[in-house]
Amino acid sequence: MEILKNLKLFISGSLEEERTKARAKELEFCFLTLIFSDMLGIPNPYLPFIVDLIPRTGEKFRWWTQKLAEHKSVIFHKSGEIGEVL
Amino acid sequence: MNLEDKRYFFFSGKGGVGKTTIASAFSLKISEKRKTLLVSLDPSHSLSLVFEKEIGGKIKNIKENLFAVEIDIEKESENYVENLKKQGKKMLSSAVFEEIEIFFDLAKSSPLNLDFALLRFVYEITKEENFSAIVFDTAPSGYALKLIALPSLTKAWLEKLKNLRKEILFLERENPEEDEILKAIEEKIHQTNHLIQLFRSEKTFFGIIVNPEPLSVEIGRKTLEELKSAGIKTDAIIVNKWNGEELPFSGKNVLVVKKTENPRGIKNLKKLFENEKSCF
Repeated sequence: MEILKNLKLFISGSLEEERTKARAKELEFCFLTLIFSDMLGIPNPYLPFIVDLIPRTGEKFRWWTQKLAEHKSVIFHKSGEIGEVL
Repeated sequence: MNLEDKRYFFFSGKGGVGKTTIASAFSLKISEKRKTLLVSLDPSHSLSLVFEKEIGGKIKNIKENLFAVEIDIEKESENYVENLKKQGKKMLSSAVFEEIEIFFDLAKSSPLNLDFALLRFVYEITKEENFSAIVFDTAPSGYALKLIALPSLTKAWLEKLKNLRKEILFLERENPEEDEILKAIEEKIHQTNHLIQLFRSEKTFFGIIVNPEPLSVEIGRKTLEELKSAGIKTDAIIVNKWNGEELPFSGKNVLVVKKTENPRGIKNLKKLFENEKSCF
């Protein structure tokens, strides 16, 4: 029973870890959207004041554009992958 | 009016009322007692014309305790963004840089680009410890008001950005003190705070310049109200080119400067405030 309990803890723990990671990624995406919003056609009036953040966040720009294109539904996501294979 | 406690002086008014002339004459007057820096933010650089002396973009000694500089905000802002662009080119791989290069051009063409450049400049110069008085001759239009409102708005947005960044770092178990991006955001919040306080500080003087003619008086009155609703006290109304007529303004804080044929050069500028000793 002890083993079972520990296993349960391990699973919920690692699930929690996954959730935290996913949440961090989601927030990072939001953060970058605030900075890169001009690319979506939403002008950021504060861009001239934070333009020095651009060289620092530049590395993440490609990740952000890829995430933008990501499909929300699993089926679409998978069919997207199939599309890529074809 | 006690000007001894004031350190930063801003003059506002409609184009052509004589802001540069008044700011120059005023600087001359206070430089008799204090080390003064006169800053022109006007792109047409009329300071050189008023003093009949080439001034330019580097701080220049005009007379004993008086120093002046003419700032080309457009050029300053261009250099600032270009430097960041160069920095980005060095920091990032060429493929990444090509993708984000557009942001520098977007920043340059943004409608608030010059306003932010001006704020950056005001922030830098007011940190300058060398001078006991700094006088700003601003460009025409309601710039003063825009300058006052912008830091508060920007701060509100930056706070959101900061909180988001902090939460990301917390979830990723990163040390917030080592995050360059968070540091940069916090530095910007510090800048906006400095400016918010500067405009509301007891050390800051706001003067509205008008001419004795209806339109200019009306604009002056409007500015007075707008400043008031922004929580800013106007310290003086200066009626320039006064011709002896009765004025729609009265009170202790009204200063009258008589019409002069040629208010150019140090000798003539000095005359402008000669009879106003009681006030300044």
